Amino acid sequence: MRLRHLIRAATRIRAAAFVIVVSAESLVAQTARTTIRGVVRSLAGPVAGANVFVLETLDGVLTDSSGSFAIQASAPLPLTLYVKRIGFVPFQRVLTDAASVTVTLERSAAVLQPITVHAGAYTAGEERGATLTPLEVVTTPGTSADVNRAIQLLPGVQAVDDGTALFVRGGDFTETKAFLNEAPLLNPVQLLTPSGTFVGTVDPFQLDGIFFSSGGFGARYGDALSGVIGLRTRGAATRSTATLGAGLAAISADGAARVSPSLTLRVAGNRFDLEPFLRVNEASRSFAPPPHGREVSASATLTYRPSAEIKFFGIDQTNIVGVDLDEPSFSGTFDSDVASRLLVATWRDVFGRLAPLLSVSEARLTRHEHYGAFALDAAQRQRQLHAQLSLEASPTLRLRGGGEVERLASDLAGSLPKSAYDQSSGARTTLFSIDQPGTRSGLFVEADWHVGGALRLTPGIRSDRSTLTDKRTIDPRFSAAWRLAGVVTLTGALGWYHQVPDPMLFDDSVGTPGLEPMRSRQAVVGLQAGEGPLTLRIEAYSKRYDDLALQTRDYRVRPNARGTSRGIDVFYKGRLPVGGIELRTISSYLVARRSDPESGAIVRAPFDVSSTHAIIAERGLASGVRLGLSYRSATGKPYTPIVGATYDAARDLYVPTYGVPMSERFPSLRRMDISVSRFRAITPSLASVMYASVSNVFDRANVQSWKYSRDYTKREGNKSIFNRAVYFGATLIWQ
Amino acid sequence: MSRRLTTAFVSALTVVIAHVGSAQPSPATTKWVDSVTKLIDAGMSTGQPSGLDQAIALLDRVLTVTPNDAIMLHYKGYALYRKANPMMEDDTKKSEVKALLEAADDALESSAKTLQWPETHALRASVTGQMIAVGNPMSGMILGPRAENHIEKAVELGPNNPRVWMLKGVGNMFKPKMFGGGAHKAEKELLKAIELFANDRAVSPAPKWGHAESYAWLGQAYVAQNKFAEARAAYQKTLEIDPGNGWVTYVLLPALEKKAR
Repeated sequence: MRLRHLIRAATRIRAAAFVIVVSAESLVAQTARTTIRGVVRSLAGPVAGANVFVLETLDGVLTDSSGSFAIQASAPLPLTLYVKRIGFVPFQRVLTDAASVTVTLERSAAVLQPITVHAGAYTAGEERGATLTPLEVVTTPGTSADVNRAIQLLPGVQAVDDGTALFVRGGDFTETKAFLNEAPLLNPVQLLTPSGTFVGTVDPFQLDGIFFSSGGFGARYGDALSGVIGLRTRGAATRSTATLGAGLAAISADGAARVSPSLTLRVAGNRFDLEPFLRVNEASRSFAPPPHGREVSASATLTYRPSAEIKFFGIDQTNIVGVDLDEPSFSGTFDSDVASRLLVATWRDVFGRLAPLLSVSEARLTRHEHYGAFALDAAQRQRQLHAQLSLEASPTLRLRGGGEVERLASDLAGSLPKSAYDQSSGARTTLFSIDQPGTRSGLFVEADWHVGGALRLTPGIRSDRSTLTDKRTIDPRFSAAWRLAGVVTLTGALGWYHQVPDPMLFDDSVGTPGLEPMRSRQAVVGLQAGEGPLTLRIEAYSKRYDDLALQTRDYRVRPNARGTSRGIDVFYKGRLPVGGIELRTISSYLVARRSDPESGAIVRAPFDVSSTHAIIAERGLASGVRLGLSYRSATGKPYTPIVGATYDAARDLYVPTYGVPMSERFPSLRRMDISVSRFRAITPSLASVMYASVSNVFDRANVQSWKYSRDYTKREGNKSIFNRAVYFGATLIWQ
Repeated sequence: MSRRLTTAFVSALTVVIAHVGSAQPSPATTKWVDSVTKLIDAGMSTGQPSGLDQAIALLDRVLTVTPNDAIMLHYKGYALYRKANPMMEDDTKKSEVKALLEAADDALESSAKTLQWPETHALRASVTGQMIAVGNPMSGMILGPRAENHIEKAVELGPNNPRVWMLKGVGNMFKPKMFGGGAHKAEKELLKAIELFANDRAVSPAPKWGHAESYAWLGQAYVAQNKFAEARAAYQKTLEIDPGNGWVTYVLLPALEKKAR
């Protein structure tokens, strides 16, 4: 009896305890769980299949056919409700009470574009249709990770010298404009020396997208006669990162801090000095001082809602070099000291069918160059306001319009030799002091129309006016892409383009006031098969130039010059069937003619490089090793030969006699580069890489200019500054 | 010039470093992967797309918070591929299938930039092969070699990975004999896959699927060679591993009996 009583009592206690535990659990559950109900709509009605979820816990459901949803969230209020559906702008709202929620989604202005190919355009990015990935751009052997050098290995860019300038489809490098976050760069090449340009635009590590058009580009871009480069700096980071690097001639560091889910700060800096590099490698020229400089950049990216971004980017660069030159009339050092700064703020957002973009920028450039009688001290400041608005008129039609106002103030002073053959310090010179401000304003409209899924038409028109030329220009442009079969697309483009000549050429002391805007007409037809990792692209083009402003040897201006260029570009990218080798081949064929600035006759253009070929092969091996090899060849560029000389006793120098303009060519260019790198994971968040490269493996001379004796009776080739050279270094990465 | 070299290799490594980060997945990642694979398995077993839709929606949620999570990107590609599979036979859904396959390829491509899983490349090969089936006949000229490249890469990364060999075998089932495919070749590769599955000890979040499925594909390779008894045995093996497998029970076995009659 006593035992039974004890058992009953124990059972009662256990039952009571169970009730208490269950009640407590259910109480906790009641306070921790939240039911969120509601409906998702758009202007067209209920939205079924929308992904509705709580951002903090990721609890969620798909809406039913009436757009309704009910979520059991495993956390108490307040909670952030997030709604996603393809074709709509994501919706986000913090919920503080359990009332039913009605969500109205706005259609996204971003239309899925089934055709991503544009005549003449190449992109480097992660998006579908990109010709190259950013990784391929910066790791191509021989490009030294320079954006311009990587672009030189795209079709349509001629290897005119071994610098970083971009001579596009028979045009001068000054006819290709570079934009960074929609802001024009004052100095698309950094160091300009008589033997070529040294450094490209911006550290590629700061970029996440590169667009290059070799012609036929749309109405968005003005004041560019031959080509366009669009650079986009990196934005929001998914996590904080840092890197530290040291190589034979450079040290660098950068970091990204994800301050909050909506704010990312980035800072980067590097310092380079070729002095140790030149100690290890023999140089074909003497440098005093060797090229050196620094670059500091910082950015802040604010993503205040999923469709919006405000980005501030600033960069400050200095580059200094002294190159010893030996001319018949003067031997000395060409000194160049260039400093530049760019500040740009961009804002973009999407409001339903409208997508605005605004960009404000200021660029400053100071340049000091001296060599014998030549001296240039320049200070330039460019301010630009660019705005555009995109409207999704229908799922297949997008309209875009906008414009920019750009003011360039140029303060230039210095001296130019009266005659190019007399560069000596005591030579007769033309002194100049130019304060030449110019304002250019431009407007454009463009339509992007997808017709039936297989045809894409892009008609547009732009109009510009510059206070320097005092002329308004009107440029209609049209491009089309027609998908013939699943992976084969025909492309075509026709357009007119104008560019304002360099402000210096308008000054009456060294130029000609009243110059016309330079003009080109471009026609492009092409075919592309495949995209991404396996792509074959062939394009033919024809260009005509009018009203060019060209400089003679003696720094005078020949206005109203003309020219033509015609050619074919072939690009292939794929993976070899054996060995896992990733391959890119580029071939460009060109016939370019221009007015000779001296005689006015139509002759070979200085950039008439008949054929350019490049092969790039890369292979990833086990244990993190990657090998790369590139081989380039190009026809030599044309030049006007010196056929004799007469002695000028008064000045004690020889005056050269020139032969038929552009009648001879330099020897062809050939160059092979190899690179190897090894990646090693030290810890899950720390890694190292070691790398080495050999440039110009066969140490080929690659002559691109002549060094004449004092009386011009003898000459020898100036070797390329790129002798065979070894470079190595290491980097630590924390993420 | 030389400072650019430094940044070149730094840039190259930002891609690789994410792989380092993903080498030791967080418990949260494993939890999400387990949830996703359950939903995918349920969707495949019942033949109802709702399970796959739920899986894709869950992946989309996780990727909203961590858009570059290579593991989740892999599973997103895998889920989209699985969703497209049963729709292949329906001509009215060609454009939908194509969009699913393209989205799958995008996700797998993004994953492969930082995560070197052999299955990712093998899935890309399968996805590319299916794009040929739903695309223009000429697309095979471009996409065929691309699929070959993907599967070669997969074998290079995982020479003893059973799922790679299974997908290689499946690819060869649909590749014409004149281009090096055929049922006989597929049979050999599927047998190799089955042999490798015996020692497969994959741990979540790594892919674990494919064991039962490999027998179902082997059965089809036998059917194509009129080896009906072997096919029946292979299908039974599928049902031993995955009792109630809807694909074998309701589709493949009835088709076999009909053909064997």
